[in-house]
Amino acid sequence: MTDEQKEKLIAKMLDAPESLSDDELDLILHDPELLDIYEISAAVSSACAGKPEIKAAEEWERFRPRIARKPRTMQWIMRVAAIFLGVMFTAGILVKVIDYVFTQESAPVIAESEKNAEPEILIPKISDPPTENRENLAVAAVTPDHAVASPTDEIDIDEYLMIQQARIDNELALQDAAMYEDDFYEILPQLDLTGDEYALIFAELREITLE
Amino acid sequence: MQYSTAEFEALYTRHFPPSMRLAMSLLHDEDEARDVVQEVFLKLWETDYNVENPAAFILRAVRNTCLTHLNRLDTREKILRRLALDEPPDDHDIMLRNEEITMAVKILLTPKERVTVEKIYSDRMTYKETAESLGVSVAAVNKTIVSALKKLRTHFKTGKS
Repeated sequence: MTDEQKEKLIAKMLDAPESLSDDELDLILHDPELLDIYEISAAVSSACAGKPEIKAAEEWERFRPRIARKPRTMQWIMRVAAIFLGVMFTAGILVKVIDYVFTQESAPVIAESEKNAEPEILIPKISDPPTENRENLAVAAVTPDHAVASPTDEIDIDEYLMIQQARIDNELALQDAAMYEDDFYEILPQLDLTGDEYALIFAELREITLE
Repeated sequence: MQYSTAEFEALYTRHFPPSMRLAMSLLHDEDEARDVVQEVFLKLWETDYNVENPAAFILRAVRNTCLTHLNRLDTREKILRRLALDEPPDDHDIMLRNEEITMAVKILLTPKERVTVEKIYSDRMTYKETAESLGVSVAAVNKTIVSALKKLRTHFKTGKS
């Protein structure tokens, strides 16, 4: 590049940079002297551009409407709303947790052995006319021989309900049996049976109870 | 939110001028510089964080925001706006460098060179307008400017001439 060409390129770079072609731009970026002149020109431009006359009061009047658009009350309202929502959310979680904990604590506890036990249906052996107090028999029938499980084991609530239902059914069945037994012993004397016939009936009843 | 409106007005009127000069020296565009500075002050107004040194915060924020704007420009756009191609130094160094250049222009250049530089860079006149105002040719204006820039380049490259 000749000196004259360089001078023309510098003039274009400083006075009309928008007219630089891509090739000229490339030339400038790869020529150390041209790049140096550009950089010092940019530095002088910065130094001179940084000294405008600034009227602070006028600038404040221009800026003030921007902060008036965002009143503090709105910020307070949003802050309070955010806190309120946070408290409600936390309270909701706490209620759920407490409910779950207390539900687990009040769930009935039954021993492992009783978990697997089939519900027993107790039928009193009818060999002789009952001599014991029928109420005691019913109580003895429904009261299991084994003790209620220790509270250390837990069973599913559904299983517990099934066991309780079976017990209730058993109790009702015993009450019905007691009622039928009363009827049986009431009509038995009216049948006028012989001793052998009595023995045969009770033997058959025993067989039924043992099945 | 840490200021009343009155306090903030005092802060604004005190720190706006140096922030605006910094933004102008980086962006070379008055409207864009004003937008950047106002955005920074708006953030300061809205923050609840206790800013211990608002002056330093404002200058640093203005510089960083200007850099973000500059990074979006390609080389051609930077040359169009007579912007530096490299990342500018610290905001304190920018101000210092600007002072040094201003001093060098006053001391090192001839009166003819000084006037021509002021018309081109401070008054933002074109070569043609400068030539007409000085009664010289466009080529003469270019020669004067190149001579002035080379003197300044030598001065800053060699330290102090």
